[in-house]
Amino acid sequence: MGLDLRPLVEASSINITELSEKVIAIDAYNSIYQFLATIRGPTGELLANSKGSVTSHLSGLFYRNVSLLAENIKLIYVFDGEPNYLKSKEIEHRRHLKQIATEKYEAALMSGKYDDARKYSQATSILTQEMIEESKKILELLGIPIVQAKSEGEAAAAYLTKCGIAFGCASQDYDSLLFGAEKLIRNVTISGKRKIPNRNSYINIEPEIIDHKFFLSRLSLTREQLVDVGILIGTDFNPEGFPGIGPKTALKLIKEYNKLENIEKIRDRLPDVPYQEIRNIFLRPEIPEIDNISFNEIKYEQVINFLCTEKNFSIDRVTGSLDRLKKTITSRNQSLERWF
Amino acid sequence: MVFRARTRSTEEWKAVTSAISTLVDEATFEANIEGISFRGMDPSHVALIDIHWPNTTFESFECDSAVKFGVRIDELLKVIRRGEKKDSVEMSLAEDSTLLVKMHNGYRREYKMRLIESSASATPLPKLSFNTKAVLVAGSFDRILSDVNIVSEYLSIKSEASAIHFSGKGDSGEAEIVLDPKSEGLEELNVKEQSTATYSIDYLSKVTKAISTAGGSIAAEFSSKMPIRLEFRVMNLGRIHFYLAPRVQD
Repeated sequence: MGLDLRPLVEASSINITELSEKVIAIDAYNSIYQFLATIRGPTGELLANSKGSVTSHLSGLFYRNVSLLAENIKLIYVFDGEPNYLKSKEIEHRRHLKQIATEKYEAALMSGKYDDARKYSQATSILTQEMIEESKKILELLGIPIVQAKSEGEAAAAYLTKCGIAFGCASQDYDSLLFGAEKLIRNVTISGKRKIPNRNSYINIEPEIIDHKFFLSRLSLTREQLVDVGILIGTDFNPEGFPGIGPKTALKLIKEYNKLENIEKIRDRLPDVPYQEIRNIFLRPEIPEIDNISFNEIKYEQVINFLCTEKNFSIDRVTGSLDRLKKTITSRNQSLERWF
Repeated sequence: MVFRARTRSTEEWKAVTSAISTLVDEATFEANIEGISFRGMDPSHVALIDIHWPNTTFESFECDSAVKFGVRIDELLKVIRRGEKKDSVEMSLAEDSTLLVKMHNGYRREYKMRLIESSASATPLPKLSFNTKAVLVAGSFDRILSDVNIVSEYLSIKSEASAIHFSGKGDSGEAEIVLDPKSEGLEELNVKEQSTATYSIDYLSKVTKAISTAGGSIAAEFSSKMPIRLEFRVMNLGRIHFYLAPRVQD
């Protein structure tokens, strides 16, 4: 489930208005999974329309993006392509976790423990091909450009920041830092009030930003060394990492020995880990095709048609949101950046 | 390193700090032999303040090398507000990264304020050419903003060769104030090309109220659908420029 860099990271909180006019590359799968995990009913059931088809992803993508567009943030959604074969173990592991969660979820439902059911349900989400197509459709109708990565979405998103197209990457996972994203912004698509599981209280989740250069210089690491730290902890491509080595030990080892090959205590295990290949995935990812990124007008009529006529969304809520967005866009204060 | 700057009253610092406080929470001042400057934008980059306060405008000014110091602007403003109008103000930097603020005129107040690490990066200035310039008495501009604010949050400005129109339109109605060179409050009007643009009253009003307590006049310069620049002409203060981006218009 992504790389555990949290103990090494110092993020600074950022106000969503500070992202105004900035281009943000969003990890599409990451954010759609977040929507599927959190946009659920009281007993953990996904939102569905009267025809029984799931709408949690569309609801999340629509309302969240409308509010980000109202802040004048320019979004690019980056979709994953074919996963690298090294990721199959991680994918199998995730499938297994989902299966366990699904069993627990069903058991909790049967015994009437609805709070538990809601909790377990969050880990059961499966993203179907149909949901992906529908997600792309709503994004397109909202005028939001899509980039299709050949393989890892986060690699393609990081590339967009490196070539200056995007200001930063939005994802909950820290992998983007290994892929070299100039800035990682967390909580972009989930900021706001969130319920704490099992408790009757709420916390306010705010976006936070991690600057890649500052992060590396604070830890005095090179990018190559950061990737080695990641491999020690365990990435999606070697999820088991190295036994007994957590984030802090990993950092200490790399600082002391400079690179994986020099670390005495992993010498026996290292040959079993395709570390050169993993380094290549992070340091030399393939470059996505990005010739036609354009931020388009919102197709208001078609959004209403798709969500309300096809997907049975409440026409009042959808048109209400769109009207407010339209009003904001037409009376928006521009930023001075245009004149610099 | 020596930095010590003295003014004859608290008014100048009050105007400067309250103007800056309308845009940012933390401010980094730069001092060098020529004087003190500040440049910064609000978080959404809609407005910018550019201040240069030359050494000659101070009662006394000492600074032997360029130095930056960061403050929490509302904290500094609170301190300055404790001073009375006729108090002299002396600002100096101490070795232990604190800012000393001494205000006195019979009664002596001394504050030691913790400085903050300045994270601010260099702010560029917008590149603009202006087709309209109107110089207004500060109080008069403030009154126009309050008048229009009754019906709208936005001020539309339209200039013609012989008059300047300030207007606003809202759900409840419309307001219009027309000034020509004979009107009270308009000191100068220079129109190279007719211009029309709309700006947020909130931004304009906050900064105008902050600075116009010190009196003086305001030179407002703009072009159609371009940012406006307000130059606050206050005694004993060098350059205070306020830039505001326009609103998108239908």
